[in-house]
Amino acid sequence: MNYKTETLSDFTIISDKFLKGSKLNIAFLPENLNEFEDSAKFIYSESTTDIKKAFRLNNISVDYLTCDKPLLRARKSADWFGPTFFIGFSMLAENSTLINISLNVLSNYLYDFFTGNAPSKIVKFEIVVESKKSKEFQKITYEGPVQGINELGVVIKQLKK
Amino acid sequence: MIIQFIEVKELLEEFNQIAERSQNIAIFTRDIELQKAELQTLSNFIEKSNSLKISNKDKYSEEELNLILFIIFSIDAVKSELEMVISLKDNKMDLAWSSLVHAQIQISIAATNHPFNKNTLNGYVLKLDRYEKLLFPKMMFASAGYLVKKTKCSICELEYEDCDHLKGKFYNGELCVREIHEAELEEVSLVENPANKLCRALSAIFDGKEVDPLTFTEKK
Repeated sequence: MNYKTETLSDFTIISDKFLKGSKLNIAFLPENLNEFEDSAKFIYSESTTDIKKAFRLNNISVDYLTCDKPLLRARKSADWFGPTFFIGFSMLAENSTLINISLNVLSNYLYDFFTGNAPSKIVKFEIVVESKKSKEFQKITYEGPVQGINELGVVIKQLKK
Repeated sequence: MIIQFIEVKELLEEFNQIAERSQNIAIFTRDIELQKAELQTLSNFIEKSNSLKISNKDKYSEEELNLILFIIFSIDAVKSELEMVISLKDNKMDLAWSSLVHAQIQISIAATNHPFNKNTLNGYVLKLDRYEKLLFPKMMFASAGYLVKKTKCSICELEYEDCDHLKGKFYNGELCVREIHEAELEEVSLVENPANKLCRALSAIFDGKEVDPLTFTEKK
């Protein structure tokens, strides 16, 4: 098992502030969500830029949580630190195919990214899933090889309540 | 991929011959003078490939320009491998390490942009990895963490965030690089598994003395 899931008890405050009323399918969440008083200081993993481009090139629009210009945190490690994804309840309930497509885009990008590198690298990223409309949020933390990413599709769908 | 121009086809054929020959010469037991002479052959070939690319920028297709750049990166990797072997024989261990890391970087970029089959270079990548594990000691490296605030894409010169180019990819015979123009340093850590293996720790303690971690020679 390369992942763990947990319930996010304090995410409702953030949801109320940034997501209320929106039908957000998928978005990038900042690493420092606890500092939500000033969204201009939100920090994302630097890999977010390239992932956003990879999604765009596959006609999937994924935006940052707010319109502020993002600050990007670079970690100079051989391992890959990915962004935190948010998957909204509408996507989970009405467009679950997009979940598989998105995971495919991510794993294809990473497969390409690590071509020419030995040995296999570890990737780390998180997914926050709105498992019940505006009420419950679950977090999946993934740490493992690229090959295991596609298995997360089933895990995400099972979180729906 | 369709190669339209005969000189590009000929360059590809010459590349295959040179790469095979040079790797045969890059074996440790080969004569050092032969290896040094081969370095010049490789430099000349890189220069020739680069001139062909530059002078035909508007004539060749994007695929052809990228193929030439792929050839340049691949041959540069072999050249660095050869430099590593020569440096090891010359007892220049720091240079040998830098050459190996450079070879790994160049072949990684070439593999990502391979015009035919991305897995073709896996054997060579593995060979360089084995050199690293067998010939050099385990080392510690410095790794910087920082906030990226202002960037530029080397291809279109827009803010890197705003364009569709991906760093590490070839576009019209040029490598896309994300230029960082403003950053804020957050931390520097000592790690075993860094992104940049050139940032190695330069001193260690051995037998109570401060030494170079590569050679165990005492630091002056």
